Amino acid sequence: MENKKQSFINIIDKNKGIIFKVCNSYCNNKEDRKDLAQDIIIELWKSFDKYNPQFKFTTWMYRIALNVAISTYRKSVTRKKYFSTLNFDFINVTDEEIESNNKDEVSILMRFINELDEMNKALMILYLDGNSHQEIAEILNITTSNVGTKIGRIKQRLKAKFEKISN
Amino acid sequence: MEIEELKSIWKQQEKKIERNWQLNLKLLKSVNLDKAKSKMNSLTWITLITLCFYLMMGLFFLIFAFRNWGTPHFAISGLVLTVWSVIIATGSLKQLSSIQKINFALPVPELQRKMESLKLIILRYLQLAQWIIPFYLALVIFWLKVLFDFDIVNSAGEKWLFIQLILSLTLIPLSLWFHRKLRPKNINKKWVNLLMKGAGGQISEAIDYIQRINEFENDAN
Repeated sequence: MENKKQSFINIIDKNKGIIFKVCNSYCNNKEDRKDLAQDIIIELWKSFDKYNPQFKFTTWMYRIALNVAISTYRKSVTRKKYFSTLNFDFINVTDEEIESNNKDEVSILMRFINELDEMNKALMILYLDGNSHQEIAEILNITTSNVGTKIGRIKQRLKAKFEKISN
Repeated sequence: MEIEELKSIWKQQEKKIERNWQLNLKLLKSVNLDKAKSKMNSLTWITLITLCFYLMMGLFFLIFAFRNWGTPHFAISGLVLTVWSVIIATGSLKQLSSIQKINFALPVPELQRKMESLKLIILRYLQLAQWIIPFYLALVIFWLKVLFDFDIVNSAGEKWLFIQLILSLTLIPLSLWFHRKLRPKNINKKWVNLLMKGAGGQISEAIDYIQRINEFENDAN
């Protein structure tokens, strides 16, 4: 059991960026991000024994993280706990603003991502994280050509947004 | 905007996230993650309670039927209500089975669709429960007997019984019509929403979301 837990922790530590980026994109405040991150880790643990080596580990992790994020916060306005949390906070998010001033490129990109619906947001996160079209297709259960089409469309909208703001 | 430009901006965001997020591995190791419950547990419990309730009621109706076997109208009422309870209990069992199949490692649209479909259960229960309408007489006979030890059939007479049976028969097509109408595609109809006491809003949202998921998966243009 200890070996299993240690193995799990090692994997989480190695891939924690996936969790953090998903939480950042689906939640707007620090506390929600923390709660969601913990919920994702809990669900990853519950699904750990059922991991299918047919898929890449990151594929498995993205699926769970995105499913938990989308399920939990689809209608989120205020904090809404989908899972009952444990008494410990093993995630800490500091107060530094993730988005700095309104006009810098990071802020514009994050605002744009926030405006996307749940599924397109997932698509964008996966794409920007450097996942191949094939990997994205596996996670989102769409064809690789569909991935390309959707990304092209989103990029066009994003380009228009950047141009509008810079003008 | 070129992809490399976008990815470079994303990398800047990643660096900020790395600065702001810390994962306490030591604490994570000490925590018993198995203790954390999912909300699916509460949905499971609700469904289980519904299942147990209707199984219990079914048993109650069945015992009534056997105890009053010598009186046809009591026996038949008991049996009708038993069947109705079993139908609803079967619906609960199917629901439990769907809940057990929820697996967060499924492809995102597939899991989201399954989860939203669970919200449509209220519609299914209504579809099943309304089948008591043409058999309202069974409820009347049963409860008058159980609560007041009153045999309405013998008291009211054959003419009354005949009228009730005719009325029951005419209500069967109505129940059939309700059964067909109480489907997700009719959720936005005012009277359907009224029947579900305002829960139609949630169901409507669930259906819209499922539709969006389907469009996301299929849309390639």
